[in-house]
Amino acid sequence: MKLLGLVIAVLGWLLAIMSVKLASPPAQIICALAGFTVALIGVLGVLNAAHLKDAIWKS
Amino acid sequence: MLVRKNLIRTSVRVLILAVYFTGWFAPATVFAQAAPVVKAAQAKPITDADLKNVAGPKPDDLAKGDPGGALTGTVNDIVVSDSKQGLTLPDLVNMVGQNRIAINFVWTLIAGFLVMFMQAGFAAVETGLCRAKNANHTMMMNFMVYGFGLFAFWVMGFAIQQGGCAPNTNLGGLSPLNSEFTVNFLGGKPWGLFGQKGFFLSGSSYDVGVMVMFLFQMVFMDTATTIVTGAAAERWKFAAFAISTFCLGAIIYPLFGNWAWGGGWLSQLGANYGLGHGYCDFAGSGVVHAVGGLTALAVSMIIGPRIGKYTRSGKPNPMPGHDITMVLLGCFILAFGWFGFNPGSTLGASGAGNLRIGSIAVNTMLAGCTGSFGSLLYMWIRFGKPDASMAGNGLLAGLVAITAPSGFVNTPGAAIIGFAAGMLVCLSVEFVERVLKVDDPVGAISVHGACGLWGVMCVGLFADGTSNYGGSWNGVNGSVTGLFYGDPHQFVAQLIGCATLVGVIFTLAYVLNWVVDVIVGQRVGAASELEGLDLPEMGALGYPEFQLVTLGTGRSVEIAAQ
Repeated sequence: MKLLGLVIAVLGWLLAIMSVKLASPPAQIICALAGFTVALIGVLGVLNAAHLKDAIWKS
Repeated sequence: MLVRKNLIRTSVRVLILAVYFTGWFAPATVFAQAAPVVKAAQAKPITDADLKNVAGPKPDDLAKGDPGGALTGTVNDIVVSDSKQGLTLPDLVNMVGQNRIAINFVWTLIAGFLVMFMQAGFAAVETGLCRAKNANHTMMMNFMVYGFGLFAFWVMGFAIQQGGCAPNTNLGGLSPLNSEFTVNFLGGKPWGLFGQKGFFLSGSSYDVGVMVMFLFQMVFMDTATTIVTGAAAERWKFAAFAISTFCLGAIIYPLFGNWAWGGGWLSQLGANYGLGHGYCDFAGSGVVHAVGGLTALAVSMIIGPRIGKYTRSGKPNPMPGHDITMVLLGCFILAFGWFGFNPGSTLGASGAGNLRIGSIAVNTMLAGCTGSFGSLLYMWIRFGKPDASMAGNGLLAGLVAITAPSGFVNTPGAAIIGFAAGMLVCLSVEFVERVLKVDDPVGAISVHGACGLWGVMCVGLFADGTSNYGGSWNGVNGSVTGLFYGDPHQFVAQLIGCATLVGVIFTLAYVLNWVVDVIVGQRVGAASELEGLDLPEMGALGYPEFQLVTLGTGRSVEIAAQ
């Protein structure tokens, strides 16, 4: 799960840089925003959830 | 309840009036002032003969003293290359050039000294927000981060970051720093990845301009490293901290620094793909603060929360710091040092649009001020009291947020950026503590990570298109202009920067710190943590003449030491 979170974060970055290949500014903004959001989900959602599974306060 | 509602209503009205009177909604053209028409005077070329006629004050007059200052700093003070020949035109021209560079050197060095003093501010803020039983440990991390970080940056960090940054006209060219490693990517465009000159500051990088650049960039890097010590305080093993800091100063920070400031691929998004002026980060909301904040998040996730921070059901327990006076004093020191951080990032005060330093300083001041307003207002409305530590964090949040846009925005923009950051830091602290359940004793992830990312985005939104640093920025002619002033492409470049910070820099920081965790272990033992880290980790108490009762054990630190 931790590895998956990091992979999603990197994929988010790749999605964001793909916006340079788009022509219209609104499409570029949406693509870059989507990439940023995916990267955040990978870190704050997936990776952090994996850490919380064996959190010290649960034991 | 009624009082709180009235407070909210009054605040909203004041905000609306402020926004109205600052003319925020008015079109940008309203503020555009017509440039004064200056009639070009008929210039007469100066010759050596003209220079011979320029007479300086006589020795007799100078011997009487110069209380008014009119006789000091004249033609007599210009250095001539040949005393027999006297003053010549080349002498005069060289003197002008050297004066410009001297002004820029002194400006950049003094700004760097101010930024160095911010280490004292960080030390005070972080130690004050920690419990007394960890005072020595927290202070020592802040003290030694300076040495560990500096050493790493001298060995390799500076070369990776700035090894290909030439030319820089403000500091005399920096010609020795002329080698950037690039690969062709996405449409065959060159992507600069890291610099290759300046290791150990030896060889050709033994250069006066390079030394100034090193000092200034080094203190910036140290600011990023000291952010992590706050988030990981009260449970970080000192040896792990030392290795982690070295990694941050040698690899993580310099990489992003190169991409943004060293001529790397992010800065070239404009030249290569037409995205405004490429990623723009005037003084480092992203390069310094978001890198530090995201590394702090990675370390905090790996080492986990302090014992007792959360109940078994996951409810957070408050763990207040031991010295609020130290916290607020530290915030003031940081606000003072920020005048080196932002205005100093012009890397000069003379030429190339550098007279904007006044505007940058005022923006810095304003955003810090409105940042503390924002957090104060939020805490007052939400909890009924103006919380002191969050007011301090609000000040820092505003300063962090204005760091990237400070050189590109006007004062209403700066005020709004700071105010929003003040609100954002309060929301983020609650989110990190309650939803993510990541323990951050000082709020560093929110202040530097969240508000750093916000600051990066603000360049793409609020840049007003009036700055002109020598006619171009990142190799693209014209002024940096944000979405609200007509250029959506700049916002795209900033979003790509944010995605890079979260997707690449966080991942790199996480992997390196995971390796450190596997090799030496990042977290101290439970017994040490409960007793406080001063004795187990550092061998001496921060406050030896006080009896400190540690929460959770009911034992005093002195008894534990016996």
